[in-house]
Amino acid sequence: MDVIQRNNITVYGNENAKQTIVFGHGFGTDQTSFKQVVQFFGKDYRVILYDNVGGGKADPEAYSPARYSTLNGYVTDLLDICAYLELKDVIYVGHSVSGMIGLLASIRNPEFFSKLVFLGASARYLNDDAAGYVGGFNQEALNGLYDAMSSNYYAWASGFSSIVMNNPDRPQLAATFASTLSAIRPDIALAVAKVIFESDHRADLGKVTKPVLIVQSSEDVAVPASAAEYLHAHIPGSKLVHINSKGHYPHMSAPGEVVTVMQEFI
Amino acid sequence: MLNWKKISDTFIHYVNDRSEHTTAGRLLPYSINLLRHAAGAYTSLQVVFEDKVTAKVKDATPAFLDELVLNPGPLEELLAEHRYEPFGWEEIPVKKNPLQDVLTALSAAAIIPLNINDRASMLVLGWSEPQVFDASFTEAAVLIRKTLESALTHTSRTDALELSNTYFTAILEAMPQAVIFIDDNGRSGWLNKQAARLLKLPMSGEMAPGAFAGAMADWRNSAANVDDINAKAAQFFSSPGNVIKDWIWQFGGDTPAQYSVSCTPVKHDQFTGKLWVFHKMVVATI
Repeated sequence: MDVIQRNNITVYGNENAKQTIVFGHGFGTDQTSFKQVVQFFGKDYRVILYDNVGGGKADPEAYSPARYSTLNGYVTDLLDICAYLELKDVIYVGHSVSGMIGLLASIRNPEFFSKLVFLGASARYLNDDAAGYVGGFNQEALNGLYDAMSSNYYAWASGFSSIVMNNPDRPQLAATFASTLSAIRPDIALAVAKVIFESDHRADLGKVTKPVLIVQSSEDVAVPASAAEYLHAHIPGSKLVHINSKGHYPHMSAPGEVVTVMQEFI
Repeated sequence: MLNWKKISDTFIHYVNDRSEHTTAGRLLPYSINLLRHAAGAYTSLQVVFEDKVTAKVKDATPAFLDELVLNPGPLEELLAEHRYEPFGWEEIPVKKNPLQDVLTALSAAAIIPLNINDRASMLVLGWSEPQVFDASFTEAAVLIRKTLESALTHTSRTDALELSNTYFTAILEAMPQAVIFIDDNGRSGWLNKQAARLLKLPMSGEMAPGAFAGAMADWRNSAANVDDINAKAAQFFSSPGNVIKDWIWQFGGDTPAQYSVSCTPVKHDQFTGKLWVFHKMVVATI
Protein backbone atom coordinates (compact mmCIF):
# COMPACT_ATOMS: atom_id res chain seq x y z
CA MET A 1 0.00 0.00 0.00
CA ASP A 2 1.43 3.35 -1.06
CA VAL A 3 0.03 5.84 1.44
CA ILE A 4 1.50 8.82 -0.41
CA GLN A 5 -0.27 7.89 -3.62
CA ARG A 6 -3.46 6.72 -1.95
CA ASN A 7 -4.00 10.04 -0.16
CA ASN A 8 -2.05 12.32 -2.50
CA ILE A 9 0.02 13.60 0.41
CA THR A 10 1.74 16.98 0.08
CA VAL A 11 4.40 18.12 2.53
CA TYR A 12 4.76 21.89 2.69
CA GLY A 13 6.41 24.57 4.80
CA ASN A 14 9.38 24.44 7.14
CA GLU A 15 10.82 20.93 7.01
CA ASN A 16 12.97 21.60 10.06
CA ALA A 17 10.09 22.85 12.17
CA LYS A 18 9.52 21.04 15.46
CA GLN A 19 5.76 21.10 15.06
CA THR A 20 3.64 19.65 12.27
CA ILE A 21 0.13 20.69 11.28
CA VAL A 22 -1.99 18.20 9.36
CA PHE A 23 -5.01 19.53 7.47
CA GLY A 24 -7.95 17.25 6.64
CA HIS A 25 -10.56 18.50 4.19
CA GLY A 26 -14.32 18.05 4.25
CA PHE A 27 -16.80 16.47 1.84
CA GLY A 28 -16.68 17.79 -1.69
CA THR A 29 -13.43 19.71 -1.36
CA ASP A 30 -9.79 18.63 -1.38
CA GLN A 31 -6.49 19.78 0.09
CA THR A 32 -6.45 22.87 -2.13
CA SER A 33 -9.29 24.27 -0.03
CA PHE A 34 -6.66 25.10 2.64
CA LYS A 35 -4.28 26.93 0.31
CA GLN A 36 -5.01 30.36 1.77
CA VAL A 37 -4.67 29.14 5.34
CA VAL A 38 -1.50 27.07 5.02
CA GLN A 39 0.58 29.93 3.64
CA PHE A 40 0.37 31.58 7.07
CA PHE A 41 1.86 28.51 8.78
CA GLY A 42 4.53 27.45 6.28
CA LYS A 43 7.32 29.49 7.86
CA ASP A 44 7.04 28.06 11.37
CA TYR A 45 5.44 24.70 10.83
CA ARG A 46 5.77 21.61 8.73
CA VAL A 47 2.43 21.31 6.96
CA ILE A 48 0.91 18.04 5.74
CA LEU A 49 -1.99 18.12 3.32
CA TYR A 50 -3.81 15.11 1.95
CA ASP A 51 -6.93 14.14 0.03
CA ASN A 52 -9.51 11.78 1.49
CA VAL A 53 -10.03 8.70 -0.69
CA GLY A 54 -12.91 9.33 -3.05
CA GLY A 55 -12.06 13.02 -3.49
CA GLY A 56 -9.39 15.33 -4.88
CA LYS A 57 -6.40 13.57 -6.38
CA ALA A 58 -6.53 10.59 -4.04
CA ASP A 59 -6.02 7.27 -5.82
CA PRO A 60 -9.43 6.49 -7.35
CA GLU A 61 -8.58 2.78 -7.28
CA ALA A 62 -8.26 2.95 -3.49
CA TYR A 63 -11.97 3.58 -2.96
CA SER A 64 -13.70 0.61 -1.35
CA PRO A 65 -17.37 0.72 -0.30
CA ALA A 66 -16.50 -1.67 2.54
CA ARG A 67 -13.55 0.32 3.92
CA TYR A 68 -15.36 3.64 3.68
CA SER A 69 -18.79 2.47 4.82
CA THR A 70 -18.18 4.37 8.07
CA LEU A 71 -15.73 7.10 9.09
CA ASN A 72 -13.46 4.37 10.46
CA GLY A 73 -11.88 3.79 7.04
CA TYR A 74 -10.84 7.46 6.87
CA VAL A 75 -9.60 7.25 10.46
CA THR A 76 -7.35 4.32 9.55
CA ASP A 77 -6.09 6.31 6.54
CA LEU A 78 -5.19 9.27 8.76
CA LEU A 79 -3.38 6.98 11.19
CA ASP A 80 -1.57 5.34 8.25
CA ILE A 81 -0.41 8.81 7.16
CA CYS A 82 0.83 9.63 10.67
CA ALA A 83 2.64 6.29 10.95
CA TYR A 84 4.14 6.47 7.46
CA LEU A 85 5.47 9.99 7.98
CA GLU A 86 6.52 9.10 11.55
CA LEU A 87 4.52 12.02 12.91
CA LYS A 88 4.07 12.67 16.60
CA ASP A 89 2.15 15.29 18.54
CA VAL A 90 0.74 16.95 15.44
CA ILE A 91 -1.82 19.72 15.41
CA TYR A 92 -4.69 18.34 13.40
CA VAL A 93 -7.06 20.69 11.61
CA GLY A 94 -10.19 18.98 10.35
CA HIS A 95 -12.87 20.66 8.30
CA SER A 96 -16.44 19.34 8.51
CA VAL A 97 -16.36 15.50 8.47
CA SER A 98 -12.61 15.52 8.98
CA GLY A 99 -13.24 17.00 12.42
CA MET A 100 -14.76 13.71 13.58
CA ILE A 101 -12.13 11.75 11.63
CA GLY A 102 -9.41 13.58 13.60
CA LEU A 103 -11.30 13.11 16.84
CA LEU A 104 -11.65 9.34 16.33
CA ALA A 105 -8.02 9.04 15.22
CA SER A 106 -6.85 10.88 18.34
CA ILE A 107 -8.87 8.50 20.52
CA ARG A 108 -7.41 5.46 18.76
CA ASN A 109 -3.78 6.65 18.70
CA PRO A 110 -3.39 9.63 21.03
CA GLU A 111 0.40 9.77 20.64
CA PHE A 112 0.09 11.08 17.11
CA PHE A 113 -1.80 14.20 18.19
CA SER A 114 -1.22 17.18 20.46
CA LYS A 115 -4.16 19.46 19.60
CA LEU A 116 -7.25 19.33 17.43
CA VAL A 117 -8.92 22.16 15.54
CA PHE A 118 -12.42 21.61 14.14
CA LEU A 119 -13.79 23.88 11.41
CA GLY A 120 -17.53 23.47 10.94
CA ALA A 121 -17.52 20.02 12.51
CA SER A 122 -20.52 18.06 13.74
CA ALA A 123 -20.97 14.89 15.77
CA ARG A 124 -24.30 14.20 14.06
CA TYR A 125 -26.02 15.94 11.16
CA LEU A 126 -29.41 14.34 11.65
CA ASN A 127 -31.73 15.80 14.27
CA ASP A 128 -32.48 13.54 17.19
CA ASP A 129 -35.83 14.78 18.42
CA ALA A 130 -36.02 12.27 21.28
CA ALA A 131 -32.73 13.55 22.69
CA GLY A 132 -33.49 17.19 21.88
CA TYR A 133 -30.46 17.30 19.58
CA VAL A 134 -30.50 19.66 16.60
CA GLY A 135 -28.05 18.52 13.93
CA GLY A 136 -29.61 20.60 11.18
CA PHE A 137 -31.27 17.93 9.02
CA ASN A 138 -34.30 15.71 9.32
CA GLN A 139 -34.53 12.38 7.50
CA GLU A 140 -36.89 13.81 4.91
CA ALA A 141 -34.38 16.52 4.02
CA LEU A 142 -31.59 13.96 3.74
CA ASN A 143 -33.71 11.69 1.55
CA GLY A 144 -34.41 14.69 -0.67
CA LEU A 145 -30.69 15.44 -0.83
CA TYR A 146 -29.87 11.83 -1.81
CA ASP A 147 -32.62 11.88 -4.45
CA ALA A 148 -31.30 15.12 -5.92
CA MET A 149 -27.76 13.72 -5.97
CA SER A 150 -28.98 10.54 -7.68
CA SER A 151 -31.16 12.17 -10.30
CA ASN A 152 -28.81 14.87 -11.60
CA TYR A 153 -25.54 14.99 -9.73
CA TYR A 154 -23.95 17.88 -11.60
CA ALA A 155 -26.99 20.13 -11.26
CA TRP A 156 -27.16 19.21 -7.58
CA ALA A 157 -23.43 19.97 -7.11
CA SER A 158 -23.86 23.41 -8.60
CA GLY A 159 -26.86 24.30 -6.44
CA PHE A 160 -25.49 22.71 -3.26
CA SER A 161 -22.16 24.56 -3.51
CA SER A 162 -23.87 27.95 -3.60
CA ILE A 163 -26.10 27.11 -0.65
CA VAL A 164 -23.41 25.76 1.68
CA MET A 165 -20.75 28.28 0.68
CA ASN A 166 -23.31 30.96 1.46
CA ASN A 167 -21.25 33.86 0.14
CA PRO A 168 -23.39 35.06 -2.77
CA ASP A 169 -21.37 38.27 -3.13
CA ARG A 170 -18.32 36.14 -4.02
CA PRO A 171 -19.64 33.56 -6.50
CA GLN A 172 -16.10 32.38 -7.33
CA LEU A 173 -16.00 30.61 -3.92
CA ALA A 174 -19.04 28.51 -4.77
CA ALA A 175 -17.66 27.91 -8.26
CA THR A 176 -14.37 26.61 -6.81
CA PHE A 177 -16.25 24.28 -4.48
CA ALA A 178 -18.57 23.19 -7.28
CA SER A 179 -15.57 22.23 -9.42
CA THR A 180 -14.08 19.90 -6.77
CA LEU A 181 -17.51 18.53 -5.90
CA SER A 182 -18.28 17.80 -9.55
CA ALA A 183 -14.94 16.05 -9.96
CA ILE A 184 -16.05 13.30 -7.55
CA ARG A 185 -17.55 10.20 -9.13
CA PRO A 186 -21.30 10.60 -8.49
CA ASP A 187 -21.80 7.12 -7.02
CA ILE A 188 -18.90 7.66 -4.62
CA ALA A 189 -20.17 11.14 -3.71
CA LEU A 190 -23.59 9.69 -2.86
CA ALA A 191 -22.10 6.87 -0.78
CA VAL A 192 -19.79 9.27 1.08
CA ALA A 193 -22.63 11.74 1.68
CA LYS A 194 -24.73 8.97 3.22
CA VAL A 195 -21.85 7.87 5.46
CA ILE A 196 -21.32 11.43 6.65
CA PHE A 197 -24.91 12.51 7.08
CA GLU A 198 -25.87 9.30 8.84
CA SER A 199 -22.87 9.22 11.16
CA ASP A 200 -23.34 9.73 14.87
CA HIS A 201 -20.29 10.20 17.04
CA ARG A 202 -21.87 11.92 20.01
CA ALA A 203 -20.86 9.02 22.24
CA ASP A 204 -17.19 9.45 21.27
CA LEU A 205 -16.87 13.12 22.20
CA GLY A 206 -16.14 12.49 25.86
CA LYS A 207 -13.23 10.16 25.04
CA VAL A 208 -11.00 12.90 23.64
CA THR A 209 -7.95 13.63 25.76
CA LYS A 210 -6.44 16.42 23.64
CA PRO A 211 -7.19 20.15 23.68
CA VAL A 212 -9.85 20.94 21.07
CA LEU A 213 -10.69 24.24 19.38
CA ILE A 214 -14.13 24.37 17.75
CA VAL A 215 -14.39 27.09 15.10
CA GLN A 216 -17.91 27.96 14.02
CA SER A 217 -19.15 30.30 11.29
CA SER A 218 -22.52 31.97 11.21
CA GLU A 219 -25.27 30.85 8.82
CA ASP A 220 -23.69 27.46 8.24
CA VAL A 221 -26.48 25.40 6.63
CA ALA A 222 -24.56 22.14 7.08
CA VAL A 223 -23.67 22.65 10.73
CA PRO A 224 -25.92 24.90 12.82
CA ALA A 225 -24.58 26.69 15.90
CA SER A 226 -26.44 24.16 18.08
CA ALA A 227 -24.23 21.33 16.72
CA ALA A 228 -21.07 23.30 17.54
CA GLU A 229 -22.40 24.07 21.00
CA TYR A 230 -23.10 20.37 21.49
CA LEU A 231 -19.48 19.57 20.63
CA HIS A 232 -18.29 22.22 23.06
CA ALA A 233 -20.55 20.94 25.84
CA HIS A 234 -19.46 17.32 25.43
CA ILE A 235 -15.74 17.56 24.61
CA PRO A 236 -13.95 18.01 27.90
CA GLY A 237 -11.99 21.26 28.07
CA SER A 238 -12.84 22.29 24.51
CA LYS A 239 -12.91 25.90 23.37
CA LEU A 240 -15.64 27.23 21.06
CA VAL A 241 -15.01 30.32 18.97
CA HIS A 242 -17.64 31.91 16.74
CA ILE A 243 -15.78 33.72 13.99
CA ASN A 244 -16.86 36.49 11.69
CA SER A 245 -17.57 34.41 8.59
CA LYS A 246 -20.61 33.04 6.83
CA GLY A 247 -21.20 29.55 5.45
CA HIS A 248 -19.66 26.14 5.88
CA TYR A 249 -16.20 26.91 4.45
CA PRO A 250 -14.57 29.59 6.61
CA HIS A 251 -11.05 28.49 5.59
CA MET A 252 -12.00 29.43 2.01
CA SER A 253 -14.26 32.41 2.63
CA ALA A 254 -12.57 33.97 5.68
CA PRO A 255 -9.06 32.47 5.94
CA GLY A 256 -7.74 35.39 7.98
CA GLU A 257 -10.33 34.79 10.70
CA VAL A 258 -9.46 31.10 10.82
CA VAL A 259 -5.71 31.79 10.98
CA THR A 260 -6.16 34.26 13.84
CA VAL A 261 -8.09 31.87 16.07
CA MET A 262 -5.76 29.02 15.17
CA GLN A 263 -2.67 31.02 16.05
CA GLU A 264 -4.16 31.92 19.41
CA PHE A 265 -4.92 28.28 20.10
CA ILE A 266 -1.71 26.62 18.96
CA MET B 1 -2.85 -21.37 33.92
CA LEU B 2 -5.88 -21.90 31.74
CA ASN B 3 -7.23 -25.42 31.23
CA TRP B 4 -7.53 -25.34 27.45
CA LYS B 5 -8.90 -28.90 27.27
CA LYS B 6 -11.81 -27.86 29.49
CA ILE B 7 -12.30 -24.63 27.52
CA SER B 8 -12.51 -26.46 24.19
CA ASP B 9 -14.82 -29.16 25.62
CA THR B 10 -17.19 -26.49 26.94
CA PHE B 11 -17.02 -24.55 23.69
CA ILE B 12 -17.67 -27.57 21.47
CA HIS B 13 -20.58 -28.75 23.62
CA TYR B 14 -22.41 -25.42 23.66
CA VAL B 15 -21.68 -24.42 20.05
CA ASN B 16 -22.85 -27.77 18.68
CA ASP B 17 -25.97 -27.56 20.81
CA ARG B 18 -26.70 -23.95 19.83
CA SER B 19 -26.03 -24.53 16.12
CA GLU B 20 -29.13 -26.73 15.93
CA HIS B 21 -31.41 -23.86 16.89
CA THR B 22 -29.96 -20.66 15.51
CA THR B 23 -28.75 -18.82 12.45
CA ALA B 24 -25.13 -18.29 11.40
CA GLY B 25 -25.58 -14.58 12.05
CA ARG B 26 -26.38 -15.30 15.69
CA LEU B 27 -24.12 -18.29 16.20
CA LEU B 28 -20.87 -16.42 15.61
CA PRO B 29 -21.39 -13.62 18.18
CA TYR B 30 -22.64 -16.25 20.63
CA SER B 31 -19.53 -18.40 20.03
CA ILE B 32 -17.16 -15.46 20.42
CA ASN B 33 -18.80 -14.45 23.70
CA LEU B 34 -18.80 -18.04 24.89
CA LEU B 35 -15.09 -18.39 24.19
CA ARG B 36 -14.31 -15.13 25.98
CA HIS B 37 -16.23 -16.27 29.06
CA ALA B 38 -14.77 -19.78 29.02
CA ALA B 39 -11.22 -18.47 28.64
CA GLY B 40 -11.66 -15.58 31.07
CA ALA B 41 -10.48 -13.11 28.43
CA TYR B 42 -11.07 -9.36 28.59
CA THR B 43 -11.30 -8.76 24.84
CA SER B 44 -12.90 -10.94 22.17
CA LEU B 45 -13.65 -10.09 18.56
CA GLN B 46 -13.37 -11.26 15.02
CA VAL B 47 -11.53 -9.50 12.24
CA VAL B 48 -13.15 -10.13 8.87
CA PHE B 49 -11.25 -9.71 5.62
CA GLU B 50 -13.84 -7.88 3.54
CA ASP B 51 -11.82 -6.89 0.48
CA LYS B 52 -8.22 -6.20 -0.51
CA VAL B 53 -8.12 -2.92 1.46
CA THR B 54 -10.56 -3.67 4.26
CA ALA B 55 -10.42 -5.80 7.38
CA LYS B 56 -13.17 -5.00 9.86
CA VAL B 57 -13.61 -5.69 13.52
CA LYS B 58 -16.95 -7.34 14.35
CA ASP B 59 -18.72 -8.73 17.41
CA ALA B 60 -16.24 -7.01 19.68
CA THR B 61 -16.03 -6.83 23.43
CA PRO B 62 -15.47 -4.08 24.43
CA ALA B 63 -18.07 -2.78 21.97
CA PHE B 64 -16.22 0.42 21.06
CA LEU B 65 -13.85 -1.68 18.96
CA ASP B 66 -16.70 -2.72 16.65
CA GLU B 67 -16.42 -1.58 13.03
CA LEU B 68 -12.81 -0.52 13.44
CA VAL B 69 -11.12 -0.71 10.04
CA LEU B 70 -7.71 -2.38 9.88
CA ASN B 71 -5.35 -2.80 6.94
CA PRO B 72 -5.63 -6.39 5.71
CA GLY B 73 -2.11 -6.62 4.22
CA PRO B 74 -0.16 -6.71 7.51
CA LEU B 75 -2.79 -9.00 9.05
CA GLU B 76 -2.44 -11.48 6.19
CA GLU B 77 1.34 -11.39 6.62
CA LEU B 78 0.90 -12.12 10.32
CA LEU B 79 -1.33 -15.13 9.62
CA ALA B 80 1.02 -16.39 6.88
CA GLU B 81 3.94 -16.09 9.31
CA HIS B 82 2.08 -18.55 11.54
CA ARG B 83 1.08 -20.74 8.56
CA TYR B 84 -2.59 -19.85 9.16
CA GLU B 85 -2.55 -21.91 12.38
CA PRO B 86 -3.77 -20.64 15.78
CA PHE B 87 -1.10 -18.96 17.86
CA GLY B 88 -0.75 -17.06 21.11
CA TRP B 89 1.30 -14.10 22.28
CA GLU B 90 2.48 -14.47 25.85
CA GLU B 91 3.73 -10.92 25.41
CA ILE B 92 1.94 -8.77 22.85
CA PRO B 93 4.45 -7.26 20.40
CA VAL B 94 4.53 -3.50 20.75
CA LYS B 95 6.07 -2.63 17.40
CA LYS B 96 4.69 -3.45 13.97
CA ASN B 97 1.75 -5.30 15.40
CA PRO B 98 -1.25 -4.97 13.05
CA LEU B 99 -3.56 -5.90 15.95
CA GLN B 100 -2.12 -3.29 18.27
CA ASP B 101 -5.23 -1.08 18.09
CA VAL B 102 -7.48 -3.84 19.39
CA LEU B 103 -5.06 -5.12 22.03
CA THR B 104 -4.09 -1.84 23.67
CA ALA B 105 -3.00 -2.22 27.29
CA LEU B 106 -3.42 -6.01 27.28
CA SER B 107 -0.79 -8.54 28.28
CA ALA B 108 -1.51 -11.64 26.22
CA ALA B 109 -3.52 -12.57 23.14
CA ALA B 110 -4.59 -15.60 21.14
CA ILE B 111 -5.39 -15.57 17.44
CA ILE B 112 -7.41 -18.28 15.73
CA PRO B 113 -7.65 -17.99 11.92
CA LEU B 114 -11.00 -19.00 10.42
CA ASN B 115 -12.30 -19.73 6.97
CA ILE B 116 -16.07 -19.82 6.74
CA ASN B 117 -17.69 -20.22 3.34
CA ASP B 118 -14.46 -19.04 1.67
CA ARG B 119 -14.37 -15.85 3.71
CA ALA B 120 -11.24 -15.45 5.81
CA SER B 121 -11.39 -14.01 9.28
CA MET B 122 -9.67 -14.40 12.62
CA LEU B 123 -10.83 -14.68 16.20
CA VAL B 124 -8.86 -12.58 18.64
CA LEU B 125 -8.85 -13.01 22.40
CA GLY B 126 -6.98 -10.65 24.72
CA TRP B 127 -6.15 -10.93 28.43
CA SER B 128 -5.06 -8.33 30.92
CA GLU B 129 -3.13 -11.01 32.82
CA PRO B 130 -0.17 -12.98 31.44
CA GLN B 131 -1.07 -16.31 29.83
CA VAL B 132 0.81 -19.42 28.72
CA PHE B 133 0.18 -20.87 25.28
CA ASP B 134 1.56 -24.40 25.26
CA ALA B 135 0.69 -27.49 23.23
CA SER B 136 -2.65 -27.83 25.03
CA PHE B 137 -3.63 -24.38 23.72
CA THR B 138 -2.72 -25.31 20.14
CA GLU B 139 -4.67 -28.56 20.36
CA ALA B 140 -7.72 -26.81 21.84
CA ALA B 141 -7.57 -23.90 19.38
CA VAL B 142 -7.52 -26.30 16.42
CA LEU B 143 -10.60 -28.07 17.79
CA ILE B 144 -12.33 -24.75 18.46
CA ARG B 145 -11.61 -23.64 14.89
CA LYS B 146 -12.89 -26.90 13.37
CA THR B 147 -16.05 -26.82 15.46
CA LEU B 148 -16.78 -23.23 14.59
CA GLU B 149 -16.06 -23.59 10.88
CA SER B 150 -18.19 -26.70 10.66
CA ALA B 151 -21.10 -25.25 12.68
CA LEU B 152 -21.04 -21.96 10.79
CA THR B 153 -20.81 -23.62 7.39
CA HIS B 154 -23.81 -25.77 8.29
CA THR B 155 -25.90 -22.93 9.70
CA SER B 156 -24.90 -20.63 6.81
CA ARG B 157 -26.26 -23.19 4.34
CA THR B 158 -29.46 -23.45 6.35
CA ASP B 159 -29.67 -19.64 6.45
CA ALA B 160 -29.14 -19.47 2.69
CA LEU B 161 -31.86 -22.07 2.07
CA GLU B 162 -34.27 -20.24 4.36
CA LEU B 163 -33.49 -16.98 2.61
CA SER B 164 -34.07 -18.56 -0.81
CA ASN B 165 -37.34 -19.99 0.44
CA THR B 166 -38.43 -16.58 1.75
CA TYR B 167 -37.35 -14.96 -1.49
CA PHE B 168 -39.24 -17.29 -3.80
CA THR B 169 -42.30 -17.36 -1.56
CA ALA B 170 -42.41 -13.54 -1.62
CA ILE B 171 -42.12 -13.55 -5.42
CA LEU B 172 -44.91 -16.13 -5.86
CA GLU B 173 -47.12 -14.35 -3.33
CA ALA B 174 -46.60 -11.06 -5.19
CA MET B 175 -47.85 -12.52 -8.49
CA PRO B 176 -51.30 -11.25 -9.47
CA GLN B 177 -52.24 -14.71 -10.78
CA ALA B 178 -53.49 -17.50 -8.56
CA VAL B 179 -50.73 -20.15 -8.50
CA ILE B 180 -51.16 -23.74 -7.33
CA PHE B 181 -48.60 -26.53 -7.41
CA ILE B 182 -49.58 -30.14 -6.77
CA ASP B 183 -46.99 -32.88 -6.38
CA ASP B 184 -47.81 -35.97 -8.49
CA ASN B 185 -47.31 -38.24 -5.48
CA GLY B 186 -50.10 -36.39 -3.67
CA ARG B 187 -47.98 -35.67 -0.62
CA SER B 188 -47.26 -31.99 -1.10
CA GLY B 189 -48.80 -28.89 -2.59
CA TRP B 190 -48.30 -25.15 -2.54
CA LEU B 191 -50.59 -22.24 -3.30
CA ASN B 192 -50.25 -18.48 -3.12
CA LYS B 193 -52.65 -16.14 -1.35
CA GLN B 194 -54.48 -15.28 -4.58
CA ALA B 195 -55.22 -18.99 -5.02
CA ALA B 196 -56.21 -19.33 -1.35
CA ARG B 197 -58.66 -16.45 -1.80
CA LEU B 198 -60.12 -18.05 -4.94
CA LEU B 199 -60.61 -21.37 -3.18
CA LYS B 200 -61.83 -19.68 0.02
CA LEU B 201 -59.02 -21.22 2.06
CA PRO B 202 -57.86 -19.49 5.24
CA MET B 203 -54.15 -19.59 4.41
CA SER B 204 -51.61 -19.90 1.62
CA GLY B 205 -48.26 -21.73 1.54
CA GLU B 206 -47.29 -25.38 1.59
CA MET B 207 -49.96 -27.93 2.49
CA ALA B 208 -51.05 -31.44 1.58
CA PRO B 209 -53.03 -31.46 -1.68
CA GLY B 210 -55.81 -33.23 0.22
CA ALA B 211 -56.29 -30.03 2.22
CA PHE B 212 -57.35 -28.07 -0.84
CA ALA B 213 -58.30 -30.67 -3.50
CA GLY B 214 -61.95 -30.57 -2.37
CA ALA B 215 -62.06 -26.77 -2.49
CA MET B 216 -60.53 -26.81 -5.96
CA ALA B 217 -63.07 -29.38 -7.18
CA ASP B 218 -65.94 -27.36 -5.67
CA TRP B 219 -64.75 -24.20 -7.32
CA ARG B 220 -64.31 -25.92 -10.69
CA ASN B 221 -67.75 -27.50 -10.44
CA SER B 222 -69.27 -24.08 -9.82
CA ALA B 223 -68.02 -22.91 -13.23
CA ALA B 224 -70.68 -22.00 -15.80
CA ASN B 225 -68.85 -24.08 -18.43
CA VAL B 226 -68.03 -27.01 -16.13
CA ASP B 227 -68.93 -29.56 -18.82
CA ASP B 228 -66.42 -28.05 -21.26
CA ILE B 229 -63.82 -27.94 -18.51
CA ASN B 230 -64.34 -31.58 -17.59
CA ALA B 231 -64.22 -32.66 -21.21
CA LYS B 232 -60.98 -30.84 -21.80
CA ALA B 233 -59.58 -32.15 -18.50
CA ALA B 234 -60.28 -35.73 -19.50
CA GLN B 235 -58.50 -35.15 -22.78
CA PHE B 236 -55.63 -33.36 -21.09
CA PHE B 237 -55.00 -35.80 -18.28
CA SER B 238 -54.97 -38.78 -20.64
CA SER B 239 -51.41 -37.73 -21.54
CA PRO B 240 -49.52 -36.71 -18.38
CA GLY B 241 -46.87 -34.77 -20.29
CA ASN B 242 -49.39 -32.42 -21.89
CA VAL B 243 -49.28 -28.69 -21.38
CA ILE B 244 -52.58 -26.91 -21.43
CA LYS B 245 -52.90 -23.17 -22.05
CA ASP B 246 -55.63 -20.59 -22.66
CA TRP B 247 -58.19 -22.86 -21.06
CA ILE B 248 -61.19 -20.66 -20.26
CA TRP B 249 -63.10 -21.18 -17.02
CA GLN B 250 -66.24 -19.07 -16.78
CA PHE B 251 -68.15 -18.26 -13.62
CA GLY B 252 -71.58 -16.67 -13.32
CA GLY B 253 -73.53 -15.63 -10.25
CA ASP B 254 -73.27 -12.30 -8.43
CA THR B 255 -69.65 -11.75 -9.39
CA PRO B 256 -69.17 -13.17 -12.86
CA ALA B 257 -65.57 -13.84 -13.77
CA GLN B 258 -63.53 -15.52 -16.42
CA TYR B 259 -60.12 -17.11 -15.98
CA SER B 260 -57.50 -18.12 -18.48
CA VAL B 261 -56.03 -21.29 -16.99
CA SER B 262 -52.77 -23.02 -17.72
CA CYS B 263 -51.50 -26.31 -16.34
CA THR B 264 -47.85 -27.20 -16.86
CA PRO B 265 -46.11 -30.43 -15.85
CA VAL B 266 -43.04 -29.80 -13.66
CA LYS B 267 -40.25 -32.38 -13.80
CA HIS B 268 -37.40 -32.34 -11.33
CA ASP B 269 -34.92 -34.96 -10.12
CA GLN B 270 -36.61 -35.06 -6.74
CA PHE B 271 -40.26 -34.59 -7.67
CA THR B 272 -42.80 -34.19 -10.45
CA GLY B 273 -46.04 -32.31 -10.33
CA LYS B 274 -48.32 -29.82 -12.02
CA LEU B 275 -48.28 -26.07 -11.87
CA TRP B 276 -51.67 -24.42 -12.24
CA VAL B 277 -51.92 -20.71 -13.02
CA PHE B 278 -55.26 -18.89 -13.03
CA HIS B 279 -55.21 -15.52 -14.71
CA LYS B 280 -58.36 -13.44 -14.20
CA MET B 281 -59.46 -11.91 -17.50
CA VAL B 282 -61.13 -8.57 -17.96
CA VAL B 283 -64.53 -9.28 -19.45
CA ALA B 284 -66.03 -6.55 -21.56
CA THR B 285 -69.63 -5.75 -20.61
CA ILE B 286 -72.09 -4.15 -22.98
